[in-house]
Amino acid sequence: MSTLKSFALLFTWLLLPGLALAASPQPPARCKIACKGGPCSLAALANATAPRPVEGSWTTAEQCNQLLVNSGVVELRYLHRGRWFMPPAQPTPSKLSGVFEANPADACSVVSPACLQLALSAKQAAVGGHGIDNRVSKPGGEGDPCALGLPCGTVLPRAEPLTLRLVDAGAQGQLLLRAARGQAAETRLTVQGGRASLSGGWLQPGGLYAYQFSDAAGKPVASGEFSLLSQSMLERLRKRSVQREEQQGLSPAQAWYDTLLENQLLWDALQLDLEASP
Amino acid sequence: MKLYALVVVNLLLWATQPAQAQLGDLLKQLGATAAGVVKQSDAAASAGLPGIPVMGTGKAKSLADIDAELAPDRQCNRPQEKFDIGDKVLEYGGTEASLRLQRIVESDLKYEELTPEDRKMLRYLAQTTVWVPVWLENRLGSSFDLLGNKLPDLLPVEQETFEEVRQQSNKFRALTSDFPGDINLSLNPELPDGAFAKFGGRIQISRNLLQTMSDKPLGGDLLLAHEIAHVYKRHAIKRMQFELISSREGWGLGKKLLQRAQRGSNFEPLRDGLALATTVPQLIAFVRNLQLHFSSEQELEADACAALWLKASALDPAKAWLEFRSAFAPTDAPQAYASTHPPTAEREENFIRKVNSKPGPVEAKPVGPVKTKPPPKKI
Repeated sequence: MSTLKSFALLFTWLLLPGLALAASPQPPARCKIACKGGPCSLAALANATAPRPVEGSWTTAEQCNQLLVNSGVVELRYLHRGRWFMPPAQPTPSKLSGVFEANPADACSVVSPACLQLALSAKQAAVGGHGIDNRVSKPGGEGDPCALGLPCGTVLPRAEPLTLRLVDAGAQGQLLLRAARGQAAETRLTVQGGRASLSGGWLQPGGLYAYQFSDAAGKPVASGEFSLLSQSMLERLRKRSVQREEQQGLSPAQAWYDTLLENQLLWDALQLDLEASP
Repeated sequence: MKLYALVVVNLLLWATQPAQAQLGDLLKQLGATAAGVVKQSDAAASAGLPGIPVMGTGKAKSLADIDAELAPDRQCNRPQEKFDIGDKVLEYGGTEASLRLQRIVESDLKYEELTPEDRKMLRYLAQTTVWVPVWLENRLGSSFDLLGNKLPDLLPVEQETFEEVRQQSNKFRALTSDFPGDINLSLNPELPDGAFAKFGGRIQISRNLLQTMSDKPLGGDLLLAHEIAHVYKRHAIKRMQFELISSREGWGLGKKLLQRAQRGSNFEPLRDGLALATTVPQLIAFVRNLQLHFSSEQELEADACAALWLKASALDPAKAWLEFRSAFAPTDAPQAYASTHPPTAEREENFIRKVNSKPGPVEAKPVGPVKTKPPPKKI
């Protein structure tokens, strides 16, 4: 009897984790969603709230794996294995959970300042060699600058002034910005109400820049670096966006967003989200 | 551990390939004038130790000649280092030096027991010869790739730009056709910044620098020529050899390489295959633990070769330097950089001196293009 009991216990012990796994819901996955070719509507399974996507621009939705396409055709996007995943458009009726089961979303499935920080901090561990010089680089910076909303990774060059929006809308302080390669250049920006503005043309395409953010009392809070995409690569990027627009029937804004994400220009994609947010 | 086993299996499989074909290839690669074993019977052609005049047909180099040979090649006009340790040791100190080297590598002489003269001779050999045949050097490079993380695919916007950079580098490869190994250029998105050259002709550039190179092609030419020069001048191998003979940890391995190198370039599948299966993983482990930095002098040598090759490619080296300085050079000089790189002013002076010197005997010869990874898969 005791042997039977032991077997039963062992069986339960072996089986339970599997059962628990099968019963557990998928981790909630955020995604970008839009209607395609006309209006669409979604319904939420379980306790999720159904978003109201529109045609021509991406809407961030929560718990996308718990959504059901009620009417119309839906396009969705999310990060899968670090790459911007573009599954085929989902027609009515379909459960979006199928897409997520086949291609699970990353823990950071859409771009956020915290996710950008994670991605770039991981690069600090990369071991370089030696050759043209031995500049010490820390793409994730110190003090989590990307999570604060400061520029990180590769950023698009701009002719117009660059507005920096910090996550903390009340942030005050100074941002000391300097060229890390090439001609020496330095500027100091005032951060007020979580915003700072840099005059257009100060940043050179293809350049590398480092900065230090200090609070209102002058205490250094974070430091980081970013590079600017070159002019020729920006032109290539624009061409690719137009091609995408034509080939996939996306709006210019959607195609541009996809092109940014596909080429890991995460900080600029984040700026578009911030511009779109109320 | 598993990966090392993979490397060993990889090497063993390779070593057991038909010997004839390999021998043929090796002879083509390394030339027929292989360094042979120095035998007692060679004593007739003996010479003395450096600077000491001796009787006989051979003649050892003078101390001045040796010093000149060890001085950095700031003109980039010195012949390529070769797998000719037997000839070089004779040049250095005649038969006496050859016999001493044989005794050193074949006995169980410990690192601490090396005399100052032994160390001097070994340093000379580490700087003027290559102890690793080119096929092994290439193999070392590919073993590193096998052990390292797989490089992520290039981003769509990077693919065309990187292809242009690869094409750009081919003109310098054409000028270095006497370099017997492979040169592999790749973009390493995991590299936070910079560009570097390592064993087996591996050159990697970071995303940051690819962007700068795409808008500043002339500065990019200088960067490519500089990195190819590190490969061409065998800086990584020479540095490794120097580290092997300069440390207790490396000495055993250094001895094995010297012993193997003394047998010449002929590849004996069974003997070499088995030896390599044990030596190469040790060598990889040694080099992986070694923070391989090129010296300031090696940087100046690479700059000098870059200046020469830019001129030979009908590019303006002065303009290239200006573009490099204004777009690529770091504006700050961290301590690590300052310890290995000469100041920018010294680099500039060295570079301009080379630019203004008379054209050297450089001519383009047809060679294969610089290799790259296969095109990345599209998502």
